[in-house]
Amino acid sequence: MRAVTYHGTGKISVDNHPDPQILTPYDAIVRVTSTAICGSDLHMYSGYIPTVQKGDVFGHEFMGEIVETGSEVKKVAAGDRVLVPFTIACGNCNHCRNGMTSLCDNSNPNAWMADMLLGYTCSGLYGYSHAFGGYPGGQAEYVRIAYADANAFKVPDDLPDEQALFLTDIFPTGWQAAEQADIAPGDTVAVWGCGPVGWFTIQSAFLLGAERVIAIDRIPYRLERARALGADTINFEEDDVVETLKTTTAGRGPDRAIDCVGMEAHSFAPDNVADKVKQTLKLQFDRAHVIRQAIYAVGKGGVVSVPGVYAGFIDKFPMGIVVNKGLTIRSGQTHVHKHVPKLLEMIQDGRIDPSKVISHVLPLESAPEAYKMFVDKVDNCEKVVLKPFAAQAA
Amino acid sequence: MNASRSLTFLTGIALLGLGGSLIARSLASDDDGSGETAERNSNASVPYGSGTRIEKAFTIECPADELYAYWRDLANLPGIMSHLERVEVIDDLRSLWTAKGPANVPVSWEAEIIDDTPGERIAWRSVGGIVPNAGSVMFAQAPGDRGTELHVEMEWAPPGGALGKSFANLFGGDPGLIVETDLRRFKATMEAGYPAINGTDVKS
Ligand SMILES: NC(=O)c1ccc[n+]([C@@H]2O[C@H](COP(=O)([O-])OP(=O)(O)OC[C@H]3O[C@@H](n4cnc5c(N)ncnc54)[C@H](O)[C@@H]3O)[C@@H](O)[C@H]2O)c1
Ligand SMILES: [Zn+2]
Ligand SMILES: [Zn+2]
Repeated sequence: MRAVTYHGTGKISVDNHPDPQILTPYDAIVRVTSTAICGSDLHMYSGYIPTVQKGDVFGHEFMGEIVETGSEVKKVAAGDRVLVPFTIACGNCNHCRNGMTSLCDNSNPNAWMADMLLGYTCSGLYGYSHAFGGYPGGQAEYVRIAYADANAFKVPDDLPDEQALFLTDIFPTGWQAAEQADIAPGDTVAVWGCGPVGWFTIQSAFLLGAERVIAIDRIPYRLERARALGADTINFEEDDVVETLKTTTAGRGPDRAIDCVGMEAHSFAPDNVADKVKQTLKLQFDRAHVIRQAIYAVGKGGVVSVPGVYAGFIDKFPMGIVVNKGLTIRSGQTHVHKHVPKLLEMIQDGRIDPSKVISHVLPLESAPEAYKMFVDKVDNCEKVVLKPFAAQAA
Repeated sequence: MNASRSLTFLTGIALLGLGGSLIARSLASDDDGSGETAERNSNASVPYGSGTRIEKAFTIECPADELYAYWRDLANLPGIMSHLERVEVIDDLRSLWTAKGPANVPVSWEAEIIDDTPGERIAWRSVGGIVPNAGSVMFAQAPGDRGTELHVEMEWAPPGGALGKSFANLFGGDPGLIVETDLRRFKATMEAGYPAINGTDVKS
């Protein structure tokens, strides 16, 4: 089969791999009809995620048709059209039973690696490094999915791929980002990053009752898209984010701050944050800029929600601000399974149209160009969907 | 801790060396000075101070009785512990264990159960054999409906005799990591039917 394969920093190609096979009685094989590129893939592509190896197959946002199941798979069968959450759940451990599927005890075959990095392993993830299981990913023609009964969600026939696909990751991620921010009526929510995750976060914040959303980015077309959702925007290259947030909220600061950027924050000239606290905190602008800025900018007693991915340790974490302003920080890989039924219903009710996030639909073979376009934020690239069997379909 | 230390003093060997050992505790439970305990202790497999001991624990969403029943049938152990090839049950207390051994030369020894508390604890030790060893498994209710805590301890003496240096331990690798991986797979099997496999390392 053909699959998007990593060959070192900034280098991927579509290569031949052996077709996946059923390895346990609980597995299923999915023939992928649609798969997307995620901001999380860019962290690997750019070489920032440990234990990614040359030859790894990327991709964790995918859906398709089941073509084969193991003997113990009961809830889905060949022919079913399914979507597959990027976090792998065993379905039965204490975390899975409590809806915290991204913290599954059992789905990471390389648990010892994650134990070393994190203290305790979290769930396996498709196509997301060996520390998270070394599972071959979904930017491929076929994928073996583990614990199929717990992970394959049937998709209603009348719901096109473009509507269902983002239930695998970014819609639940945006939803969880807003939900864990404990948004209350009247709240102002600041969202850093207007990529696909930010796009879903902004809408989720409104759906959860936010009075006002202020979205921050520097890419004009992404800011434009945020405004189209009803958000106010700040271009961090033109305006001072902290000052603007302070004045526009009449000195209260945003009640909730959400970091939809993560570890590859774009660095820029020192701003007020540095000016004010550099001396005491020796704050430096590295790529943890956004989480620091969010902590500084959020109002007293606020919640800082962090869906953005960080991989390791960050320097100069402003703990003093967290303590003195009485902040709550919440984060996590998304517990996708928990959110799918509810969000699917919202899509069917027409309360949100996830397909609008798509800027490009391309054949799988175009993955190298697609990655480049997405990482460089050119050609109005917001979200790329790849079609592994595009040629046959056309 | 104290119990096992004082035992050491008494007899010159402790059953399972390190203080706090569940196995030592279970055997030393009543009266450190009693003739019975001292006698059992003098039959210890692993001379005090010379053994290596590991302790690993997992919480499993499964009733203690079920886990106990699975472990008490010693023939099931090779399905849990990857270093074992087979365990043949001789009678209620005695069994013959075969480990894979270095360079695929199997190593066998006889073992006896020295503590059997249904639903709570099983302890065993080798009788003779080139690698004196002992172990125990304890099952305890986890707090707040989180299933059962499984505590496993194993201890073995450095091997002597012919196999000598080629045989660092019973396990053929880092014993702590091997036992941890084995128990993790056991937990996954009990909870989810099968341990996770990534497919990356499987050659087709
Ligand atoms: N927690 C989860 O389960 C989960 C799931 C999916 C994605 N993510 C993470 O969410 C993040 C965003 O993903 P995406 O697909 O939207 O990525 P993306 O790269 O498309 O978007 C990131 C956006 O952040 C903007 N940005 C960079 N520096 C900034 C700054 N200083 N201030 C404000 N904006 C800034 C960029 O211009 C870009 O538009 C990534 O870190 C990704 O790994 C997390
Ligand atoms: Zn993703
Ligand atoms: Zn689980």
